[in-house]
Amino acid sequence: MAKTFTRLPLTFLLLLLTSGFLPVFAQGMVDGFMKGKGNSSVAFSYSYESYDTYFVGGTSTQNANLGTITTRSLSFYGVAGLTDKLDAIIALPYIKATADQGFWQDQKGFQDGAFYLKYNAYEQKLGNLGSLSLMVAGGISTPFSPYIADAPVAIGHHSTNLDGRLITQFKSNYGVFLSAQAGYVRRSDVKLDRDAVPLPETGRGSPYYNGHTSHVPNSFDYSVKLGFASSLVYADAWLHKQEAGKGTNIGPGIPFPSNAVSYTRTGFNVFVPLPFFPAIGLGGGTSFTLNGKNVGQATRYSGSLVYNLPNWQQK
Amino acid sequence: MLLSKIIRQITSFRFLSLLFTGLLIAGLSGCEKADLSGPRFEAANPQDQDLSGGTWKTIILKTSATVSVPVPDAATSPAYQQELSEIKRLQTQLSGSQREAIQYWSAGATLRWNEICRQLVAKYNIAPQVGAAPDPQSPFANPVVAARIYALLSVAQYDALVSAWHHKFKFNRVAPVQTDNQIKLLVPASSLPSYPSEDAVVAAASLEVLKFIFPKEAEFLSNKATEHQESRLLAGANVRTDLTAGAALGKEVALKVLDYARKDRMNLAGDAKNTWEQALVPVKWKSLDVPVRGPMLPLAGNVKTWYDSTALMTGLPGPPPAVGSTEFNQALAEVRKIADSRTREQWRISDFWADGGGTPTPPGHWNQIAASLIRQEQCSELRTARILALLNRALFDAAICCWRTKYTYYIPRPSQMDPKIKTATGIPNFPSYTSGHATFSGAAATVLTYLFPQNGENLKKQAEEAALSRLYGGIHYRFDNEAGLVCGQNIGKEAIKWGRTDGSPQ
Repeated sequence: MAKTFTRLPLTFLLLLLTSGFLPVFAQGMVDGFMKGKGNSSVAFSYSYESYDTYFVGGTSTQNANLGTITTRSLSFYGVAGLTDKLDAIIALPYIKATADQGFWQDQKGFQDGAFYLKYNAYEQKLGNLGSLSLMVAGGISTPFSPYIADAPVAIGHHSTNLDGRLITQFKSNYGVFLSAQAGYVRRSDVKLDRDAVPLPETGRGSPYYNGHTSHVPNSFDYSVKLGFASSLVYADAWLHKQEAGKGTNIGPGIPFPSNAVSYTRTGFNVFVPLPFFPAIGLGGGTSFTLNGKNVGQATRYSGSLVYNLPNWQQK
Repeated sequence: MLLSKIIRQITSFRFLSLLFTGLLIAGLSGCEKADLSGPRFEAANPQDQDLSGGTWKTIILKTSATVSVPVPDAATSPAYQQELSEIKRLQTQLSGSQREAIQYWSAGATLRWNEICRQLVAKYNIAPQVGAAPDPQSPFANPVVAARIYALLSVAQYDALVSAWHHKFKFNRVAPVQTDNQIKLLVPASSLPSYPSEDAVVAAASLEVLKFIFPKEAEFLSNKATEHQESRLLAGANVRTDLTAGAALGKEVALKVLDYARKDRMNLAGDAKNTWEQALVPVKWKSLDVPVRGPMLPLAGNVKTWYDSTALMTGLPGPPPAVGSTEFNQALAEVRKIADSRTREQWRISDFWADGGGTPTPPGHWNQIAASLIRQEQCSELRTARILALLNRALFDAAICCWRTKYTYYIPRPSQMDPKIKTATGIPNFPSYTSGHATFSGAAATVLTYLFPQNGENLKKQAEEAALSRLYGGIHYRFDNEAGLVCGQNIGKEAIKWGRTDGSPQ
């Protein structure tokens, strides 16, 4: 049974990459499945995300001088089973963000490259029911180009992020699985092109930004996923919540990176291997922003092409 | 399979683990959040206290003796002894926050209030809702309004300090530490007589001007002014009557400056009757905002200037290339070309000088540049105020001249003529010719070069970059910038003429 799962290229799930105000890809970087030693996959995905409504603090608003902001991204993703208990994951997205009203220039470029390790710390067979596993994962992501951190149309906040998380998954012997994750993302300060002046009432306390430096709030990250995985088809539905620590709300003169970005999103994915060439599979997904703070209320569609490399252990 | 061989190599357990650990350590150190409080500056310790300052020319006041200050008690009087005791009592129980306040204000009274003013401007530099009536409680601190605020503040500080210097040397009260060696001096020693206190003068004058402009901040400002004055007592630098006399002087001078402000015609600059709509030009500027917004302060060009208005108006820029002419089209094509191939460095320059909504505006940026030069040179409190008053009067005159030019020619922004021109900064909602940034920067760099000649080259480069930043941003033609710089330089020369005759030894 486990063998069947490891051959499944589940990698296309990660591709929750970004929206105009934030670099996000924590939710999908790791899932509850292990590749198994010697198995590896690479994937390319394309995603299209747009919003015309965004949240300033928790208040939803629109800006006629930006109109709809659309983010298109092409991402490369790879995952490999180093041992049966350890997976390595890499990802790099190329993103273009555009506003359809007003005159702000498009932003495009490589966003943040990510590198994760995931360790399957504990696995318990539950007789005929299935099995339960507990995984820990850690990752780092860092900008791969000098993209602009602080503009109304942006592809990310340009911070280097450290992500630590716990994943637990129950999978039944009949393909149904349920997983949950909790993580904490630590984000580095970013350097701004300009001098940002804190509010006078900040006094001598430490503000979120000052001069050419801005904090980027850390965040807690939770998700649950329910799905079905077999050698013929994979499908899931997920709910993801990011809860930012202290930060600012969107406002004139306030650097975007210092905004406290929180949101709840939900989405669905399906994936099918090609009938006569199962090493290659096609996936599709969609996601919706249910609510948030300082984030676009984005809807996203994505498609991916996954290739499972032959196991390098087998000669 | 070559591919799987390569993958096997780079996915080898040991290699990856090492790489990961390395990245994690690098990442962890990078993820530490910097302390962003501050800026923390060393205590100002000017060697030259400009002892002749009481004779310098005042701006609004007739002379430095116009506002009188009561004769202080003699050092031997019981009243004065009691004042010394108050300091000693307070110094026995200094709290951490009191020590911090001493340190904070010792960086320079005028500079700290200038910094507070810049923060307030940034806070209030937010365009109101389209169609909303101006709210006197929450003024929109756009670049023109901001330039006026900086000028009023600096003029009040300067006139108050010239008066203070006059009275200091009239009464010659020595510093408390010189009378009583049990008093600890927690700031650098000063050769100035202590009555009236220059810190109290600046605190009270600044408070009066800033709360007039920002009525909602009255309590915040008043707390700051109190903390400022108290810090001098706690530091052992002044006795109570040094402060009360200084505060009374500072307030009275500021009220006279505000009388001037009430009559400078700024209240008409908003053009409530929309007379700008009547102006006839071949191709007229229009708002690119959605929804369409009336242009910023169409009658700011009629506001009273600080320097010789005849000279300034004679030096106004002539007409730009006619819209549609070959020369104009070439300039437009240049903006388009830059917008189409904008480099990261051009974007950085555009953003660095943008000074748009929510910032202290370009005049604020130049105040910041001036402040760092003043710190380097360790100027006296009075000289600091003189520098800022020369600078900020020039900056406000730059606003007036530039706005007058904008609403003479009504030149459209590049994106109005070619909507494919995409920008790296917000498009300001007023005509293009001439560039405000260029005019401000030309004026500021000229004044500051006169005051800090050894920095002339760098200042010139900064002004040129600030002007160019608008072309890089896609919101100005090169001719906007060039004409703006020249106009600004002429305004700067008028400021220098004033500076040469104000009686200061420079």
